[in-house]
This record gives sequence, C-alpha cells and structure tokens, in this order.
Amino acid sequence: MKNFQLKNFVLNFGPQHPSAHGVLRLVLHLNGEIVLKADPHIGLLHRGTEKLLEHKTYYQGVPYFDRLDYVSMMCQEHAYVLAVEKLLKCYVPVRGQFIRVLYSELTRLLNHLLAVTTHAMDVGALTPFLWAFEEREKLMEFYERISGARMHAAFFKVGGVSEDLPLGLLDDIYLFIRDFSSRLDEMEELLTNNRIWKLRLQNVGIVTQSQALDWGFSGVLLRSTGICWDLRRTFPYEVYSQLAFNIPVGRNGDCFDRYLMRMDEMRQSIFIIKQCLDFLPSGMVRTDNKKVLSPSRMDMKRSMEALIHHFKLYSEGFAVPFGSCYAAVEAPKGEFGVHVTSNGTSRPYRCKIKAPGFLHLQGLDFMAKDHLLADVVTIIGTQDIVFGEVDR
Amino acid sequence: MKLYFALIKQLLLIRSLFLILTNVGRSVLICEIDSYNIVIYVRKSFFFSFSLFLKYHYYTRYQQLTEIACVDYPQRANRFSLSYLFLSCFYNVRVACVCLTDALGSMVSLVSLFAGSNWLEREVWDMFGIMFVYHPDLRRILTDYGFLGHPLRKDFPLSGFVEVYFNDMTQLVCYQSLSLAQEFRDYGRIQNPWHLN
Repeated sequence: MKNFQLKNFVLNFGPQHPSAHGVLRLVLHLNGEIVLKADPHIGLLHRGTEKLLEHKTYYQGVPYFDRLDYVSMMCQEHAYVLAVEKLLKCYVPVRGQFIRVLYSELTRLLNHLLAVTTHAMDVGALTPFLWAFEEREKLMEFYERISGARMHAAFFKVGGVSEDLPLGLLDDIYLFIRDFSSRLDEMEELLTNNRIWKLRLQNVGIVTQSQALDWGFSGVLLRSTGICWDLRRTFPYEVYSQLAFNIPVGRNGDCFDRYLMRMDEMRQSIFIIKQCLDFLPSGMVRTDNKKVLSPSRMDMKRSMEALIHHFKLYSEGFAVPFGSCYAAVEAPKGEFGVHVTSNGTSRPYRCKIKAPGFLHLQGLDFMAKDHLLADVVTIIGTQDIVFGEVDR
Repeated sequence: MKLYFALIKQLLLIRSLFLILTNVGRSVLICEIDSYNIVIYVRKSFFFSFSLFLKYHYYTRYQQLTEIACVDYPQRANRFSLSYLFLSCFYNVRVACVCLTDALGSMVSLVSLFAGSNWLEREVWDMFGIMFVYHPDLRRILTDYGFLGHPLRKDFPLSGFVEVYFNDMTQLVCYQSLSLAQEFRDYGRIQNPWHLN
C-alpha cells in the first residue's frame, strides 16, 4: 500500500484583505470551510515606538501615542501623561481633569463608531458606515478646534492639557450630543433587529469568563463574558469617581453582545459628556509648575524667566525622578497601559506600551476555532483590532 | 492614604502567605510600594511557583497577566529586569513581580498558567533575546522574518544595521547595510552641565 499524507488547506488571509483591518497576515488552516487553526502574523506595521521613545524627551513622546491606535488617539496620550505625572507627583487642576475626561469620552465615541460600523461593513451592511463617518467628521472637528489637528492632536500634556477650550465649543458639543443619540437610534434600527446581522453575530466567537481572564482580555471583550470590570470604576483616574455612569455587561460573550455593549457604551459616554459640560469648573487647565509645562506665549514676550523656561523645556525637557510606574486607562478597546521606567534624566529609560489589541488578537486562534471562514471576519471585527497599537 | 494602607496590607499578606507555603526564607527578596504599585522582587528559581501561588491562592487570585515589561541595564551582571504585571479582578489589586536575569540565562515560561503570556513572552524574546523554556512556540513576533538582533537592547542602535529596498533589476526586496547621508546625532547623550530640577 502506498504511503500517503493528507494535508489541510492553508490560506493566507491578508495582509491586503480589507477586512483584515490593516495589515494582518492570518495563516488559516482550513478543513473545507472550517477553521482548524488561525496563526496571526503581526508586525507589518511595527515602527519601533518603544525604541524611539527612549530617544525623545517626555514632551516629544506624546505625539507617538496618537499614532499607536489611530482611532482612539487621546485615550492613549492619557495613559502616557498619567504615568509620567505619577512619577513626577504632579497635580492637574480640576478643570484640566474634566477636559481630559470630556475628550476621552469624545474619543470613545469616535472609536466605537468606527468599530461598530466597520464591523457591520465586513459583515455586509454598508449604510451604517456611511452614516457614522458623518458623525465622526463632527467629532474630528471638535479635535481640530482644540488642537488644530483632526486626528493626531497631542492635546494632553504632562501636567494638564495644552490649551483651554475655545469660546463656543461647549455649546457645539452640547448640540452634538443632543442629536447624537437619535443618530445611534437610526443605526440601531438598521442593525439590532436585522435578521442577517443577528445570524452572523449571535453565537459566534463566544468567550467564557475563564478564557477571557486566562488570555488577558480587557475592555469590551472581558465585560461581554459577564465580568463587570471597567478601569474607570475599579481604578478611577481623573474625575471619573465623581461622575455617574453605567457599565454595560454582556451575558453570552458572543459577538452580538459585544455589538450591543458598544452601542450602550456610546450612550453612556453621551451621559458622561453631558455631566462634564454641566459640572465643568472654571480655573486653570494645566499645572502652574513652570518646570514641567511651558509658559504661555504672552508671558514669554514679557518675562525673561519665562523665556528661559521655554528654551529649557523645548531643548532639554524636564527631568523625571528615578523609578518606574504603570498607569492604565480604559481606552475604548480595553486596558491601555504605559509602563515608564525613568533613570532621572529627561528621556524615559524604557517605555513599555501595553496595548489591549495585542492580547485580543492572540485570542483569535481559540475564538475562531471550529468556525467558518466567514466568521473569522466577524471575529476580527468584534475584537476591534487596529494595527497601530498591536504592532507598535 | 486609605489606598496606601490597603496596598501595604495586600503586600504583607502575599509575602507572608508565600513564605509559609514554600517554607523558603529568601525566595521573595524585596517588597516595596512604588507610586501606588506593589512591587515584589522574586528570585528567578521561585518565579514559577510564585506565580502559581498568585494565580490560585484564594487570598490573592491574580488571574490575569497584564503585561511583561522588560528593561535592559547593560552595565549590570543581571542585565535584564523583567516585570510581570498581574491583576486580580477579584480583589481589585495589581502586583508587579520583578525578576532579574542575565543575557545567557533563561526564564520559565508561564504559558501553562496564563495562556495570554504566549505572545508577551514572544515579544520579550524578539526584543531582548531572553529565552523562555517550555514555551510552545518561541518565534519572533514583531520584527521582520529573518531579522537579526534584538532591537530593544540598549546596545542596538536606533537606526539599526540594515535597510530594505526594492531591486528593480531582480524584482526582489533586498537588504543592504545601512548608509545614512548624515550621521545620526543623539543629543540625549550630551552631558548636561546644569542641575536638573
């Protein structure tokens, strides 16, 4: 009898496939259309951010964080500045904290709009995507009005935020969130009870509690299994402990739960934004420690001291005391953390970035197992993968 | 202050419990609280049993491995300091376990305890070249296929050693050794004569 070997079909999914959300090369071992093994090959967008940060001052490091996960920009700056502030033991005025929360939540809307609607587009519904991008346009205008940049804002600085809010911005944000919930309703009308959408999402990519913990999941993926874990509540930072909001928690841990949770999180964000608008105190938006944040343009024209500070801060930067610390925020995708190690100079000795997407993508193998090829697309969509942060 | 006391309590608890369980006096070296994080220095040979204890003991329950942050100190004998960040969703605490290792030494892989540590360890292997024994699949992860060297080591230059270009003649992507039009200028190494802050 002849020796013969059966081999399973191996398919390269990506890196140019549109539903690979960027540059994922996924090596799929298939039995017919059933996925046996999914082996993600990442690193095609690796830019060596951690290495670059070691060669930049703390001040120059902020814009690199915008470019990690390029759909939730400010949340990542937030983790970085929190870590550096922890080392500096630097205090941020309450108004600055409120502005940070306000913009973190606007960023969450920005991210979830993209996450939900590109997910819908991968599954076959194009319309929500077109509608959501109109809303995203408005959100990016809010970014532009405070920083001048539509996406990579570099707005959060160590010690506060870079500028106070311009006149009339809060009115426009109020008008936006007033109408935004009906935009969400319109989107939900198309998706939530849609038969095709449900067929594609329900009971696909189920994650159990123990799996989610074991694989280090965070954010929506962890909460969809029924664990109520949100860093805004469990390790409150800034003023989140003073704000009221609910944390949507899933029951089945499937893709449909995660879709519903994302929609609900957007509604909660609207509620938080509204509270920020209501409670926003007057006062300073940045610390008055001149050794950390540069003086205003006006001061520099008048005061020699301010001019020296400006020169020193922009050439050499500020020194951060010895030590290392970890700070994390609840980014829209999950727990985004920054581990800064300082050796007492004005550059970080080491800056480790903990990206939620990295650990989520790792779980793709067990989530996609025994699913159909088409479900892999659904699972990548529900994980809300962005390669800027996975590859760093 | 209340938070600080809670952290001290948790730290003493972990330390005493583990000492009782292992009955080895110097398995846990130093415990400290650094910027509201619990940091525990663990001897390398006890690291696996320590994380086993952290994960399964009822009073600790650190069921999640959040990240592995490795720092390179080339001037030290044990040049790599690996800090494992564990999270207990049950008790709402984080703990960082620091383990020191040298360039030729290896760590024990935690994949059998925390499935998520697979890629985290692959990343440390890729970036620093630390071996993880009993790791099921220790491949490079972030760098290119066939990449040489470990880029996050301090002796690896920022600009790297090779550059990639597309050769029109052979229609192939090729590597060549790096040539910069201008030498890379690292202002960070200039000694600062002024007192910093």
